[in-house]
Amino acid sequence: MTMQHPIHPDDERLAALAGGDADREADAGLRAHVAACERCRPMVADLQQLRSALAELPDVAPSRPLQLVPPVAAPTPAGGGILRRLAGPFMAAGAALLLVGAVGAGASGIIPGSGGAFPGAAAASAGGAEVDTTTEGSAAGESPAFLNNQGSQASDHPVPTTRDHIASAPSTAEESAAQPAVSRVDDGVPQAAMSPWLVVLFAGLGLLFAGVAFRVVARAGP
Amino acid sequence: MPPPHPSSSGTRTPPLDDEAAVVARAARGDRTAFAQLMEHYQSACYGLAWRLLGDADQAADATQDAFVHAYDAIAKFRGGIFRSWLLRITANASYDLLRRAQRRPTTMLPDPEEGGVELPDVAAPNPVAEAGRAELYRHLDAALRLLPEDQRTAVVLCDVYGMDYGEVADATRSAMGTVKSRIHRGRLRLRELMAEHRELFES
Repeated sequence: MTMQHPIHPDDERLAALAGGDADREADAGLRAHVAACERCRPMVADLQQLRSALAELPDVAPSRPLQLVPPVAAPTPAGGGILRRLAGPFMAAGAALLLVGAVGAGASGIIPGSGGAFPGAAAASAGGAEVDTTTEGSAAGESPAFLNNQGSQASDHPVPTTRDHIASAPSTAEESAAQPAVSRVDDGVPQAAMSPWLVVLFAGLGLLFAGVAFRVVARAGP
Repeated sequence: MPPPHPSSSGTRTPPLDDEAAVVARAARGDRTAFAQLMEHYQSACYGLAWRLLGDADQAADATQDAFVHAYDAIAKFRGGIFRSWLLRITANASYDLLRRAQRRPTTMLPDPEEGGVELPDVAAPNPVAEAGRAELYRHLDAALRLLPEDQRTAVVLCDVYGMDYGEVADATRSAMGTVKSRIHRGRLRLRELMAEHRELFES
C-alpha cells in the first residue's frame, strides 16, 4: 500500500540521494517521498546499485611498461624552465637598452660618425628626448613650472633655437628639484656628461648576452 | 579486440602489508621503496587515467607523469591513505593532459558497440562465478565512455574512485555546484544506458 505523489522531486535530487551528498541524504522530506513513491523508490534503488557497481570497477594493467622511478640525474624542470623563461625578457630588455644607449650616445656625439657635437638633426632629436623626459619625469602637476620656465627663457632669448630647448630642460628640472641626469646637460660639457648613455649601452649589451646565454644553457641542459 | 590486461582480475589493488613502513622509506628518499609502491599501484593509477582519458597511450603518459609528480611530492606526504593520495595526483595529471590535448572537448567517446574501441579485458579466474560480474564491468566501462566528458570525469572520480565532491572540484578546477550537477546527471544517464543490462547487476 503506497501513496502516489503527483509531483515528484527533480531527478537530479534523486541521483544525489544515491550517495555522496550529505544534504540530500539528510533531507527528511525527500526521503519520505522516495520511500512512499512507486516511481522514485525503484529509481533511487537503481542508482544506488549502479553506484556500488561503479565502486567495484577493477584496476587495469598499464598498456606499456612504465618507468617506476624518475632517473636520478633528472634535470629539475624548474631550473631549465626558469632559464628558458628568463631568456626572452633578458634579450628584449637588453635590445631595448642597447637601442636607447646607442641613440643617446650617437646623439650626444660619443659614437663617431653620428654627426659630431650638436649638428642639426642629432641635436634636435636629443633636445626632443630631453624635453620629453622632463615632461614625463616631472608629472602632470609640475607642468606649470615648465611653462613658467618657457616664459622666462623666451624673455632671455626671443627666438629660441634647438640648443636653447636643450638648455631649457635642465633649468626646468632644477626648478622642480629633480632630474639630475638632465642637469648634466646644463653644465655645458656634453661629452663627459653623456657618458651614462654608454653605461646604458653596455648594460643593454650585457643583458642581451645574458639572455642568449640563458637560452643556450636551457637548450643544452635537458 | 583489446590486448589482454593480465593484472585485471576483477579486483582492486589492496594496500601493501607493510605499506606505512615502505611509504616512510620512500619519503626519506629510498628509491627502491618508491619503485615498490609505484609497481604495486600502477594498475590502480592506470585504470583511473584510462577511464578519464579513454586512450591507452595517453593513460600511460598520464600515469607516468603522475609517478614523477609523486616522486617530487612524497617527501611531503603526511599520512592518510597512500592509494588515495596517489590517485589524486593521477587524477590531476590526467586532467592536465586532457585539458592540454583538448582532443575531444565536451564530446563523447566513440561508441564501443561500433568497434575500434579498446576496452580492458577483465580476466575472470573463475569464469562461471565471475563471468557475469566481469560482463557488468565491461558494460559499465562502455557506458562511462558514452557520457559527455565533464560528466564522465566527475562520475569516475566520485563514484568509481570514491572522491568526495570537494576533491572532485579541486581535481577538475570546477565549482562545487557544477561538480554535483555533473555527477547527478552522469548517474542518471548511466542508469539509462545500463537499463538493457539490468540483469547483470543481479549476478
